[in-house]
Amino acid sequence: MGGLLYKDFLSINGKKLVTVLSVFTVLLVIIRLIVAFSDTSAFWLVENSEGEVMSFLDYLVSMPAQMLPIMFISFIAMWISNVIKNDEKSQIHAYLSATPLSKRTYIAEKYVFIGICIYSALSICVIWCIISMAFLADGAVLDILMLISSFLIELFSLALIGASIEFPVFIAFGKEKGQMIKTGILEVLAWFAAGYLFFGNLDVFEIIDFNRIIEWAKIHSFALMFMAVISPLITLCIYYISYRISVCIYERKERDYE
Amino acid sequence: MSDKKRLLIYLGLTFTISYAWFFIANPDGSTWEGMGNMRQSFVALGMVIPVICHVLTRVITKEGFKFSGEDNSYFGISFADKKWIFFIVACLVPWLVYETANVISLALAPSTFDSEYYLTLDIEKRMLILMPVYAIVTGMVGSFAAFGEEGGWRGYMMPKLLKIMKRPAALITGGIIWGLWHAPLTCIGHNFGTDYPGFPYVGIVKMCIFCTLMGIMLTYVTEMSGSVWPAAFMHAISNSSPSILQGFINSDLASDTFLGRNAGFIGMALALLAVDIFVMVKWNHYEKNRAA
Repeated sequence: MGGLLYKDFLSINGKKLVTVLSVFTVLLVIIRLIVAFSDTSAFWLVENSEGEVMSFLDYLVSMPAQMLPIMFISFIAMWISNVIKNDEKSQIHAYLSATPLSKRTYIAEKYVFIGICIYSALSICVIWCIISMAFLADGAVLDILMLISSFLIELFSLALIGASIEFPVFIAFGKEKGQMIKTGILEVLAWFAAGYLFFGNLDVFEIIDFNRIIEWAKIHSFALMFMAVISPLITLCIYYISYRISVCIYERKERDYE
Repeated sequence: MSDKKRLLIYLGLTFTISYAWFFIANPDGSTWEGMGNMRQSFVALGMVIPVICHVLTRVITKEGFKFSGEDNSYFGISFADKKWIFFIVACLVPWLVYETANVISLALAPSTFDSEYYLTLDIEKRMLILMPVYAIVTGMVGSFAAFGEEGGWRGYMMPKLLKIMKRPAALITGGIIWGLWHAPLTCIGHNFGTDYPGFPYVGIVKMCIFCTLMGIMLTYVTEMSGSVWPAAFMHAISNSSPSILQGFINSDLASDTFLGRNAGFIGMALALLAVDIFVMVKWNHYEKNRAA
């Protein structure tokens, strides 16, 4: 399985990605320390809508940590289709059928690989949040980062659920058709969203208050704690069921092929 | 290149980079308590340095990155030969150790019992029941920092020490090295605070004892499972203090006697010692069976 994992790691340009992320992490630490221990934070003081004065530099330094989770979520979706596409392109199935590797191991490797990717992505997001929050004074920027970090587990649990849906679809229909189905569903959702923007009741968006969400998170700490405990367990169960479904689909498909 | 030389390169790199990090991350020399939660987490990122140095040492010494067999990196995971048991053990043992340690600590210093202490920690009573499970889940999900330490200490240092010297000597030496690595943190009050007689030297000695006792357990699960991951989970869960009793122990109420001040440490040391004795017996039994 180690060899297959390494093959998939190369297929998503893993080496380049690790290098880029390592360099950016070191840069973020350096910039964070410079901003914290120099007079630069006194420049570019800005006032937000609630009259709170904050350093624009602090806000800028925290931006990568705010954007990274969303970036990773879209990357993970891309990696799933990439590992399947690469196997189809290199006709790995024909090669693997000549080896003692079981079909179950082949599918398990795909799930383990994406599992490792999600775990690594979550870890990097946590590290970036820690670096960004290290020297921040109480205020809006710190509140945003704390909110993001408290929802990271749930966010990456969603990514795992997304992978649980995508894998059986890609394995059953192949990369081309699978991508078409995925794009089709996303387009339908996008049309619904656009339709709602034109004809729906937009007043509901005015009610959404970011500060109220932060307050809610502070008050309902038990509910958040319960969610943090239960969501990874439920997600892992869904991921395992998805794996079993994918194995069934793959075995049936290969039987037809043979 | 000999194992001894490789180990020295690893230790040189780890201590230099880690001590530099602990200085850079805390240039104004704030105490652990005084720097706040956010900066504590930032300084604690130094935990990932041992595994980075493990990788660097393998690159420098051209040792390679094997996932199995002799001189492997211990980064891989295998559930074959019932090795999955060690993953379950790794999740549950820290809870047992912490509760046992707290019971011993309360027996030694009953004055520390405070039925409403959890309220000062901003924890609701119903949350206390979830605390161990929460510590296990969040410990496992956020185990990257513990993996950072275990990937280095258990993944590189201990296998090399076990090759160079006999097992008891290797475990004690490894524990002392691990404890000394924490010295900059102990000097700013991590683990034991700053307000105790003999600060910081007594704290460093206590940390070496704690690391030796903890290290025996962690090395055992690593060697038996052939992976650093159970040790990483164990370490991460331990760091999250998986205990219900913790919410009822207020160390500020301890009497100003040797026993009162050290009840927590003695409780933890005795609980770990009990696990270590069990582990050593099992380990010897396993080695005998393998030799036969």
